Amino acid sequence: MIKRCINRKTSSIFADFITIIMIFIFLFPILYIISTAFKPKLLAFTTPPVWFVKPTFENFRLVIQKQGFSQNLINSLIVAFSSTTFSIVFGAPAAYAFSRYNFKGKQNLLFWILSTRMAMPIAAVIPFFMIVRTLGLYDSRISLITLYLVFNLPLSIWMMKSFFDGIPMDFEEAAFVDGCTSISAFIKIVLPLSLPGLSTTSIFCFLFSWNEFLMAMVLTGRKAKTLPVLITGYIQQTSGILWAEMSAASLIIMMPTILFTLYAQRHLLRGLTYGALKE
Amino acid sequence: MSIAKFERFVGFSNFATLFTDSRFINALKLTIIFVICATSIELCLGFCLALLLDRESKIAKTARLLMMVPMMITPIVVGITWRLLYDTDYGLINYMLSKMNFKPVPWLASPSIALFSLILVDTWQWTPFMMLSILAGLRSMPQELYEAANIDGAGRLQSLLYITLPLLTPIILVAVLVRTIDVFKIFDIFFATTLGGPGTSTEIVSLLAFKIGFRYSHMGYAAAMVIIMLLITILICTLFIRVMEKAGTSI
Repeated sequence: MIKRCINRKTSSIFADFITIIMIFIFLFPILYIISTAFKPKLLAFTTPPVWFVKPTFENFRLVIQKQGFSQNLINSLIVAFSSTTFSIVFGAPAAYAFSRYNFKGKQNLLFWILSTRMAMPIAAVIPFFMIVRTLGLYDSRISLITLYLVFNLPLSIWMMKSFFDGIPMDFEEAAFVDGCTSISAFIKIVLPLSLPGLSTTSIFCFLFSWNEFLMAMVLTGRKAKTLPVLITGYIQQTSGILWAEMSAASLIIMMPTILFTLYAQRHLLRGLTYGALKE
Repeated sequence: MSIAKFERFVGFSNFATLFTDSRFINALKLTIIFVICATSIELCLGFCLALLLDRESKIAKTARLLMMVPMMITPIVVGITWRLLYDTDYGLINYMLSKMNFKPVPWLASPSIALFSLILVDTWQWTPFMMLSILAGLRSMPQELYEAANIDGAGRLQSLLYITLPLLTPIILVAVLVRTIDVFKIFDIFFATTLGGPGTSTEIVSLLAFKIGFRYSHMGYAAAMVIIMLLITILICTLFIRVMEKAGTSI
């Protein structure tokens, strides 16, 4: 920390005050949504805004009982969980190979995997839409699960590689001396040691699949619709926007992300930079 | 409907048309403006916040934790939330402005302000990312350098400029690279708030490609658009990585 030339106490109090203002600025939209979600429908979106109302669960009840909500929730859960599982199952061995072995074109391959992040989602959606329609897989969960691998797999490989790089090879070498095969060493030694890495990567894959909007909107109709698409249905209503219900639905969608963020906060930076920066 | 039956190869005509399409040029211009403004503001603000929060007080600790939340909120929810906040008549921001005796601002309704409003939204959501990255760098600063500089009579500003900034350069470069890539791809908040904005004032390339591909069904044209953007992004990334290698780091 930079040595302070002025009185430590006053500088800290001033800094704390600014920090509190910053916290408020960055959190007030979320607090706004939370408070709107608990307001009765008629008071939700008024001028001037009403702050102190008796909190009600009416909006949540309306959202949950709306036709299709439980189906959308299940879709979101299934798609997110399955996509995460696949990306870990395919990504971890690949990451292990990148971490432990050297082969021709390794750097190029790594950059190519990273470059899939550079393309806009629209770039993937256009061809996938045509392929999915031709295969008759439109409006199916399996198409979403498979296509989310486009961004989950690179994330998984890069993050897991950075975690594997941090595990010294001594354990595996000791195991090789004892006659262990590569695969056994991977499964029995490296995987258990990298459990925190696996769980962090899973959380990120889950979050990105849960939050994904564009592919879900384009590739699903009524049956496989996920929660983010449901929310946009609220904006596009012709009978006027139901602000309170929309806030309640937003809160339901935000819940897993906020919980997971607070849980995985130590590894947040690693996840967002694909393992390039560690906290 | 089979792909082969209805599509035919037209060579490079899509790309040729793109270069003379004023709507695409406008979208490209808006996207580049958006990327440059958003990334710069996030960098500066994130840097200041990182300096602010690089302390040991309880409030700073809580702040570091809580500030992460905006980054992970579903982007479509972020878009919807800010649409509520930015509403000209009922939005909270205009209400607070009116309380302070300012005139209400047509945040999303005015062609000249809409893009700026969306830059603010992206800044709101992703400044914590820059802050986190720079904080991680600040934490690994060796103390001895500062002590030596202090002995030599360097003030706080000089320490900042001549020690902190150069040491932070690799991390700043990585963070800016990641952020640039991600801002080029932005879609959800534009879709939820303006869908291209009043007229075409917020019609960035991803939105335009979406409209052309899925509203007008000109898939080939939209695909060409997106490929051009991909090439631009790859070009920028390669330049960036080369600069990073010159500065002594790699991804």
